Amino acid sequence: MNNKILEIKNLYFCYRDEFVLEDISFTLNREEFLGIIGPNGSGKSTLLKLIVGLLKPTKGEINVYTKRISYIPQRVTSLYHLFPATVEEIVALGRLSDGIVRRFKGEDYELINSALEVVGLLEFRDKKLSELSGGQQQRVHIARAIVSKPELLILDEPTTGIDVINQTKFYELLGHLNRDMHITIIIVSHDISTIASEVTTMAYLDKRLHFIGKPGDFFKKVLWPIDIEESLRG
Amino acid sequence: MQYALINGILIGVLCPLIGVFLVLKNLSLIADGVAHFSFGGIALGIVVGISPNITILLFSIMGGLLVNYIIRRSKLYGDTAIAILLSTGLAIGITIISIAKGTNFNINSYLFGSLLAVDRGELIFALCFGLLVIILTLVFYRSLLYITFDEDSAKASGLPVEILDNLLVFVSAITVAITIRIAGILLASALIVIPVAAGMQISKSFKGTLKSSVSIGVTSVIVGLFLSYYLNIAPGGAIVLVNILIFLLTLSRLFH
Repeated sequence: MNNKILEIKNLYFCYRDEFVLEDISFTLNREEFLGIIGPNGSGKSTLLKLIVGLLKPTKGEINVYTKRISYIPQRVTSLYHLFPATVEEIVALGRLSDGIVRRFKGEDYELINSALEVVGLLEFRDKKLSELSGGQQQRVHIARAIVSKPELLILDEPTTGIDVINQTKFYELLGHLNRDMHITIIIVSHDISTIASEVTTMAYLDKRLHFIGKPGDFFKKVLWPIDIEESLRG
Repeated sequence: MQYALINGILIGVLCPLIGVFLVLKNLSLIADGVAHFSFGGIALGIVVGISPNITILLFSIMGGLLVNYIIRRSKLYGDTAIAILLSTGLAIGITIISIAKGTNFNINSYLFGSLLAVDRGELIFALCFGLLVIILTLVFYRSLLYITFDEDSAKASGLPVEILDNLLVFVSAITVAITIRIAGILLASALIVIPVAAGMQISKSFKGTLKSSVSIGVTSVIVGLFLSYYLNIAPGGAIVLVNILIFLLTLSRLFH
């Protein structure tokens, strides 16, 4: 069986006559956990949107070798403060990836229950989404992803506005999904230190892919040289 | 009155049912745009000699799908696209009517709604299309909720988002067309928006919001129609005023 889940070849993306992504090529194997970092406006979110098919490449190729994709876009939690829906109602939406017109059976509700248990929100199932904290809301989205039984989970800056302790817990949860539930994960993040402990692969993107490899190598090859140069100048 | 009452209860159910999705998608005004656009249809129907019921329905569906297309494809905000649609329909309607001077047609009953306008044939027409809207909405209930809540995630999970979105606009347009007969062009959209706004104040689940909005919609239609009948006032105005009263009640501390 092909171990590749994603293959990108010479990808270019142009937005309003300006290249946002240039010549991106890499391959991702199943059960990897890829953390993508880079400055603001470096094309991270655009890359994720291209992978999930919300945008079309200007040039190049993207091959995703699975249909079971779950995508959690970047957002401000305040967007939901008026949305009248319970935690359970939102998580249940994930089951629609098995068919848009279906009657929910016992199996569906078992999946929803166990997903809520994995993310530690079982007792919040009947709460309104907006009554939860930012960190809890993100875990609701993870539960929604879990019930869709994804092979590839893609998250865009999921921990924005969440305190450090809950960020760490959140990444531990993702680590569990990756190692124990065998879900391939791609995450875009600002905080290098928190994602480094869980990811298996790290990428540094700034219009071009400047680095992709093991987190350890990233620190040795990319991060420290920059810091040293800067401290010498200072 | 009996026909009007049955028709009224039907729109009391339909409007909030699709209104929940429109309001939460920030498309509250699309119903208003569609209703105004159908004014062109009414005028055309009268001049050409086709029943306005049919031209209202055709113009509503056409207008809804057109505005949805413009919103998705053009570099315009949704409300700008709706404003263009709304004016286009009114302009067509006014022009046609001014050309066809002398028709002894009561345009007021379409603008403000009318109880007497509902005869047996119209009721059957409304019931058939109303049933279609209810069935489609209930069958695709969760999918419509998904695209309302998070369109990008839904699309990434493989849901046919554009088809579902057009389906929502399609059932909304039918609902507006049915509602115009009783509530009138000017107030049809109020029945789609206000019961939902009230329902959102008192419910915390989506299902709860749906149920309370429909209850509020039906209640205000029944009360409004009786007021209209006994006080001899325009049904659209009476229904919407009752609706607003309920909305104000839900805002008050009574429910908190």
